[in-house]
Amino acid sequence: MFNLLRMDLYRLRRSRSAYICFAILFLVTVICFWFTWMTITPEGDKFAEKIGIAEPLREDSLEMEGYDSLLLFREIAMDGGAYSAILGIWVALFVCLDFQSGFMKNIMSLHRHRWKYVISKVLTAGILSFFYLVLQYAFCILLNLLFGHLIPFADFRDILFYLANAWLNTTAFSALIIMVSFFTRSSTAGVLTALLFGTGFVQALLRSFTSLFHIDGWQNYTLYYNLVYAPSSYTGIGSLRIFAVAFVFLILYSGIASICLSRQDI
Amino acid sequence: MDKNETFAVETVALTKIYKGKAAVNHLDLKVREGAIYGFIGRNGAGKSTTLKMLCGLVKPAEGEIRLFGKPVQDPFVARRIGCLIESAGLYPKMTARQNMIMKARCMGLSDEKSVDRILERTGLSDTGNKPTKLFSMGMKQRLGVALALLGNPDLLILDEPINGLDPEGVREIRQLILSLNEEGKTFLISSHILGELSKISTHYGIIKDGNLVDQISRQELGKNCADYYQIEVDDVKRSLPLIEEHLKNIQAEVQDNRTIRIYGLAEGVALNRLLVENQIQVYASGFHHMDLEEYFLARMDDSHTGDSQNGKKGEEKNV
Repeated sequence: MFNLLRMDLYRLRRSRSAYICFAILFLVTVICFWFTWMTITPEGDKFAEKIGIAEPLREDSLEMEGYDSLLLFREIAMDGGAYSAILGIWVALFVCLDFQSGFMKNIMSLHRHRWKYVISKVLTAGILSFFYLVLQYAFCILLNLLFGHLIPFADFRDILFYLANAWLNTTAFSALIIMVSFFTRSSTAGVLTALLFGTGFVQALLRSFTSLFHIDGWQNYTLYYNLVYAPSSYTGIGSLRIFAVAFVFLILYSGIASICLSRQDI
Repeated sequence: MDKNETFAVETVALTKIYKGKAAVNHLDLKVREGAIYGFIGRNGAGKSTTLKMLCGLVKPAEGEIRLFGKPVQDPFVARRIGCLIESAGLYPKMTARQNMIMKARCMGLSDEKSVDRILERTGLSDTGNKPTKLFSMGMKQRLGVALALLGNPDLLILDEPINGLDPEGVREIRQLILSLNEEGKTFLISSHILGELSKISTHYGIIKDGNLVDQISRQELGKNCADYYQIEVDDVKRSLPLIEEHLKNIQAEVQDNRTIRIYGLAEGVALNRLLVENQIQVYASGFHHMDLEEYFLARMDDSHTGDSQNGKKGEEKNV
């Protein structure tokens, strides 16, 4: 399995799409900070007035009271599902290229226990997600300093708590995309799943239906809910529920992906 | 066949069923260690499916595969095999060397010198930073062979390895296969280019509709494809006793109601004269030698007519 992981990491380092996704995340962060600057600073407000967007931003400024760097990071990356969708798209492209290029034949002729391949892919996605989260958060801190300390920094323990939760949830989400990619062997299907599930579209659709029958409590146990509505700090044993949910999904999706792959002909 | 002989590949009743139809049907394949086994069959005969099952890419519906005497599921056995199935599986944006390193890492090999050595041996050492998507078909095939050679496998399973190669490339691959075979490596090669296969193979297996219709050594093939004199006459019933009477120690065989095939004849003029003098009309005559392609077509035809045991019967129709 570690040989497969070494192989995947070698490919990851050379994956142009991984750097493009990273650049997109950075770009989104820069844009969000620029808007934050226009919203909460007098210089920014003057600039916003020049370009004619001051009014809507002034309305938002009240909502931004009490923001810290973690809350802003959550707003930028997690709330709209941008992070999950971008990571999911990369995972779908990464996994499906093995099938499309035919390199899968080289791999599977050597590794008869196919679950090792699944674990390797999940770990690769987890490693990438770890770097994305840490670097994007570090970039947020850097931008906060560059823009003149726009918002206060969050408590370090809260940052660790939330980033650990985000990492586990996004890795579980990657396992979902890996599972779909194995089922369909189609990057289009993988990308669509990443967009529909990552942005919470499917969850919103299901919620609007199940709420008619007052049975929408299930959404507390979804990856999207875990990422968007999870507590930012540890408040007791109950706040670990989000980790348990993510872990169960991670095992479930990886298991189904392994079974699916082991039953398939290459 | 020696009962204690070890086989690089041995399958027992190997079967694969797709949508209720047997793509491979109770196949008993035996490839001796050190052999170059040419696996022949028409498109859709089940060659690639068989090779995929041997490489662990496709699961058999039933039957057993043993490689070097061990079950195919054995992870150590997988290390002893190098495969090139259908097209070479390559990452298009990576270079030849990067693709090789990918597979080396997948195998747990840390020695990158072996990568360079194999690239050199397959004539790909000068491809530099060129991504494989810009490679010609021949270059891709050569890289596929190079990937199969990684890890110094004992058995190489090559599906159409010379597809798309130019004559020089074909010769290079042929020489590479022969030199590796001299080092003791076993080859199982499927190819449509039977002329090329006949230059290197020591054994042949012919598959049709998932069934192995023949498994034959080069020596046996040579014997079955021996020179013969074929004569077409108006009256076979009168001709045969005449031939047998005048030509001692010669084997004559009736092919159909106007064709006789005679083995071991040095020259045919005297025979023609004898028949003409006896008022037998001779329509055509001449010496023939079957090559692998003719033999293959004859066996295909045999199995079609249901006579899978006697190879001689159907030869006439294809000669």
